Amino acid sequence: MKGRRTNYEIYWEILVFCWKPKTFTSIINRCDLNSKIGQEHVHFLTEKNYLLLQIQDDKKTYITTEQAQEYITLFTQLYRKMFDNSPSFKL
Amino acid sequence: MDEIKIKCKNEIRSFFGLTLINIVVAALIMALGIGFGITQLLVVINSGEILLTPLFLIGAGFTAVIAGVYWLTKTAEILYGIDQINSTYEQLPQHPNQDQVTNVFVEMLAHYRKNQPLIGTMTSLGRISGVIFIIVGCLSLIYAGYTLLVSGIVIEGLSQLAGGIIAACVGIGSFLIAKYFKSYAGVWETRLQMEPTIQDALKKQLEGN
Repeated sequence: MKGRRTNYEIYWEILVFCWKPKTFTSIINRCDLNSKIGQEHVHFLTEKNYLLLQIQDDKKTYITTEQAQEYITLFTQLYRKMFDNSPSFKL
Repeated sequence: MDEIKIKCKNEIRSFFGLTLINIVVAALIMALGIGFGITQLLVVINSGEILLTPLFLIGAGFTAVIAGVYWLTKTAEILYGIDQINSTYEQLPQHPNQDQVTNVFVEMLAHYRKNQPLIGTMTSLGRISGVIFIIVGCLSLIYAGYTLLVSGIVIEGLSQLAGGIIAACVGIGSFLIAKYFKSYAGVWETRLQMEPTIQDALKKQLEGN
């Protein structure tokens, strides 16, 4: 169960997960996506040159490119700010 | 990074604690509902008369049972999500990197988004059951006072007194839970208000490529 994530959060999860080469199956398992949605997201990120498809010995893997670093950094900064600026909850 | 990690930890633990207390109160409400409902039903059957107060207490009792069952199952769902977030948090190394901490944030946000309507219901349910149990508690205390005055110190009066005190305490507990849920929801509403700006910035970043 992954709760309700936005597309931006799923993109971020895929990109961070693929710092090391990962197969499509491991991406959808890690990010808790069905095959169709997973394919859409991976295709989108590949089109943006944020993910690179590598084929070695008939094995297809995806790896995050340097170009994705800006998105990952921005995402991290914005989410950190979201938690910095809000009051903490303590029982 | 360590400071934000502590903040995360406090939030997860506080909400975990609040959810656990919520389960206890829901179970108590269910048990008291059964107790009051059946006791008052027996009063009506034994007296052979249809009295307004026992009828109200029967209604309140069985409403509490239904609310308690709903409350218990839904709280268990929330607890399951919190437990998963807690597992992710527990797996963090001593000095986590930004991505690892952000992953916990994303899980917390996703969990809150999913349970936002339910948390609103919990707040309302807490208030409603608080009112019902405080009324039930007060009525039982009045009955107990009357019984103790008329019949002296008898078991019936003392048990009504104990029941009234417990019901009133559960009522106050429900109010407190509603208050904490509201406070928790308030924190998350503040965060969610920032989302459109964040999504806009991320969209621009994606469109830029």
